[in-house]
Amino acid sequence: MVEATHLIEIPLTVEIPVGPQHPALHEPLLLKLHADGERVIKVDVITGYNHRGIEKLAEKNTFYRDIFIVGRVCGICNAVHANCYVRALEYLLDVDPPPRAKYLRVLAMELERLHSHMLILAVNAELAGYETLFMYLMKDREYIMKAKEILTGQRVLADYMMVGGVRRDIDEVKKSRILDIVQRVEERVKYYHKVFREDATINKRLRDAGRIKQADALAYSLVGPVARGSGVKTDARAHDKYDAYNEIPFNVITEDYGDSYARAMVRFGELYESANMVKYILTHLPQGNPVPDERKLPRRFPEGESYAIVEAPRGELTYYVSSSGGDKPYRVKIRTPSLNNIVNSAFAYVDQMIADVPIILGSFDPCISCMERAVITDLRRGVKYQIPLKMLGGVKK
Amino acid sequence: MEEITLIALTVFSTLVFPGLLTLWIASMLSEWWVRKLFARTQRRMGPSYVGPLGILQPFADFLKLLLAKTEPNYRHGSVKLARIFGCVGIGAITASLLLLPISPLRIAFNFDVILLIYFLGVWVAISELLMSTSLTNPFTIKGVSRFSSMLVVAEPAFFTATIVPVYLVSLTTKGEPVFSVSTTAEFAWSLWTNPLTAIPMILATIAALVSIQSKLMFPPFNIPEAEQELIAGVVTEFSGPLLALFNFLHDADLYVLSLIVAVVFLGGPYPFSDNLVLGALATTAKYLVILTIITILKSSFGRFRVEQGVSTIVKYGLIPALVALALSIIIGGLA
Repeated sequence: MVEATHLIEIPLTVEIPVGPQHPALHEPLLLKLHADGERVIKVDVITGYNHRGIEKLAEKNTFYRDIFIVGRVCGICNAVHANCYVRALEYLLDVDPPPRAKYLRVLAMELERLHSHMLILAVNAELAGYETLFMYLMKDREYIMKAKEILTGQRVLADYMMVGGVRRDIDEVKKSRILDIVQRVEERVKYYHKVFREDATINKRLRDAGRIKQADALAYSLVGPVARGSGVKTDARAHDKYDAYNEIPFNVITEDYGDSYARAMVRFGELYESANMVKYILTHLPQGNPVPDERKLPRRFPEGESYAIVEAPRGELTYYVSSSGGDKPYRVKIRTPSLNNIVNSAFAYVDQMIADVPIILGSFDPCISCMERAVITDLRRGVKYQIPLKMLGGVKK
Repeated sequence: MEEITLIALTVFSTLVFPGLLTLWIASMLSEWWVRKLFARTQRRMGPSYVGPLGILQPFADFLKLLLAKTEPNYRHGSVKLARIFGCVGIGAITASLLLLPISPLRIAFNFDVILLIYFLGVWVAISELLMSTSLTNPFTIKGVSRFSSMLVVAEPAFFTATIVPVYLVSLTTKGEPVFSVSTTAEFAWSLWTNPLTAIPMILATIAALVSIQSKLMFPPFNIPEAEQELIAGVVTEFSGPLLALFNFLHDADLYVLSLIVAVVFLGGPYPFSDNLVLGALATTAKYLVILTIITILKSSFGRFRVEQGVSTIVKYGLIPALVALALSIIIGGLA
């Protein structure tokens, strides 16, 4: 009699595609779920449905035109993209914008963080099936969009940054209008924070969904609110202190537990911080002219390379610009936070329920248009040792 | 002559009132009420183009689906089978309407509540499930498996709750026939005035509302058709006339279940039982209150996961219903 040495379990899995077109996703991405009943045993993250060749386009256009191109990498966080790129150019040219311009840049970026966080919190609620909360949050987010329009002239695509300053100044009337909007929205945010803390469905769905331990967050280089939700105190605004962040007081918000709920709470904390920063900026705005004369800016850039970093609403965003001396960049390399957070976080879905997958993905705040690259990922991890079915034929007796 | 009258009455009751035609109109109007109210709670407009306040929008949607598009062919599914089960579901709902006292053809006999359970509990649920499984894809399979897990507790909860007033009425009054839906509707109001029977009635009504919410796949129990997880779950493969049929079945279920609560639990036309017009108005008012409660529940919750949903139905549906039934039996023992 021969004794068995191996127990081979073949999980009966159903392959469920989430995407590339799916109601849970607002942008094209494919999460291929392998599910055993309701339990997810493996996820493949497949990107590449929205490749636009922005970096190549940047090489083909002038330094100044690229400010508008990089602003269109992402609709929601266009000001931070433009800011990061413009600062990379300023490092190349050795230009320092006036203090008022620095304050106004921070104002635009914090307004953007406000509406971006409100958007993703609304989407989190919607992914948990809470349509009513989604509608309410989106309505109040619209006021912040209005504030951004008062400041920059546009609701969405601001095109506010320019080398050496910003494109428009702000007067007392606009200041008071923005202040009024932010104060009103802050009250509403307090109410939504209460709903998130107390509502049964939100709590049951978000708590323990997609928990990421601090060590994992560090090992997989996760950034932004996702890392901060796992207790990693990382924030480019705090450690790089670019623009006026060295003068404006704020706290880096962290939570320890690392689940979707903790990430939502980090975003709520940051909403309060951003609102306080906006109020501080509007009451402490330095005097001077923040709008540089465009005609006096140099046409050609000196040879060299520069690297700028910015804390986008989704995390650390970096731009590398290389100039070979001329009016066009030799290379522009963009490293977006979503690319890190989505592609590297497939381990967070394993052993969760199918129902939790959209919630976990939503809690990472995915911005698909930011992250389209050709990436090959191996996601087979977990406690049990797994081999592909086709290798079974090779198992020796 | 009597036979001809009976046949004519049967045909009228089945096809016109309260049968198919009335069922269709009432279902569409109920859908409008739920949609409009749901939208207003979310600071949206809701249906507003067809008819005054968009009241005809569900009719327009139904006709649009019925007429505008043809069903595609399915390699691994049968449209015909889905259509048959849709019609069976509608038929079961129509048949159950005849047991209610609003029907001119009064079908009432001892223990006819069992027939109501058979039509509404067994056949409507089975039709919905089989209609979905007739056209399969991974999302439908997941949706059907989730729906059946929920029905396993939601159906017993609803019918245990329904049995409570039926049992209490046959216990406390001398109405004939016993354990009958129409007798219960006639005397249900008396259960609310007696403090002893009011307690099981409150519990049974709560249980009925919770289980209706889950049977209709409304939040927080919209787990089988969770849009963000399963596209549309059980409804994914339906389009054109088939979707119209499923929507009609769903709305008809909403209408009949709410009507049962309004009539069997809240006493229908009471306190105007003698006046036809006022009685009908009272029934409608109670019906709209039930619909409004269902809509407010719908708009105030997110979605549970399937196991959370099932435990919630057990906690707030099945257990209150069983406690109410136990209390009723104790009251029966005391009497």
